[in-house]
Amino acid sequence: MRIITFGTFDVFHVGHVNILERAKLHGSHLIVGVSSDALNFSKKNRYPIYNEKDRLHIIRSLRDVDEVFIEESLELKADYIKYFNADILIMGDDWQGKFDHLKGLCDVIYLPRTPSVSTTEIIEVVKSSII
Amino acid sequence: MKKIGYTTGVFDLFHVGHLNVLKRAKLECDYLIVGVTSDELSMSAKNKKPIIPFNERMDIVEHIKFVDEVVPQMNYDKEEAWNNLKFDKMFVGDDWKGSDKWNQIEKDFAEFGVEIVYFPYTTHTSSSFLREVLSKI
Repeated sequence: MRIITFGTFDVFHVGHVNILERAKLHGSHLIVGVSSDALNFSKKNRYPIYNEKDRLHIIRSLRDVDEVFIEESLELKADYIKYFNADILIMGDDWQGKFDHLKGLCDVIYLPRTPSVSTTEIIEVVKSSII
Repeated sequence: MKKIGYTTGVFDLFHVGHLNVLKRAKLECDYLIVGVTSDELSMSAKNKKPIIPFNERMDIVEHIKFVDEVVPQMNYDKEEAWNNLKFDKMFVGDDWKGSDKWNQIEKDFAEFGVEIVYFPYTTHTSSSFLREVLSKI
């Protein structure tokens, strides 16, 4: 089964590792769409801390990942699923329900995030460690 | 004969600089062992506690394709590490090249047939740089 998932994977942490490891358990080939710098800017009005080339490089180097690509637009999910011939779309459960409309194209599974690990939390720890 | 490589690091706020070291190290050996510095050792050496907990840092490095084995690094005793791991090559950042300390280590290890290989750092990022950037968000 071919699995596809999407993410920013900024300030890479073990939560990212966990979700990709668990996504891979659902199939044999894991394809990861890494969102472009431009896409992030349009969503959050700031660029990611790690640039898209570095984020792609890190994700491509993980054991569980078979293939990577740059996600240019949020509207293109259906096109990416078709292009990569994915059987299953896996996303974190903060997206619960948001991709149900794609269930005609592939299975859609939402996985729980690792509690207490997130980029936001890392930023908090860094800020509180600076005296 | 398979060549065993060894490198160490804190790997705090894992970034592409870390990745490049691991990738290059694997190109120069058949089996790569990575020592991940414990929180205590990092504190004693740099007086800085890593942002990311030790077990998470180990977990991340374990998941990198180029890495065959991860071990904790509890002290800076390289001979002890060699006694345990029997590596053929050790990979080190090139800011240490030419220092008295590492010239001596090269000589000591040459007697066991162990090669020290120096790598340049990736210039556009580092954990210190990231700490600064993150603190300003």
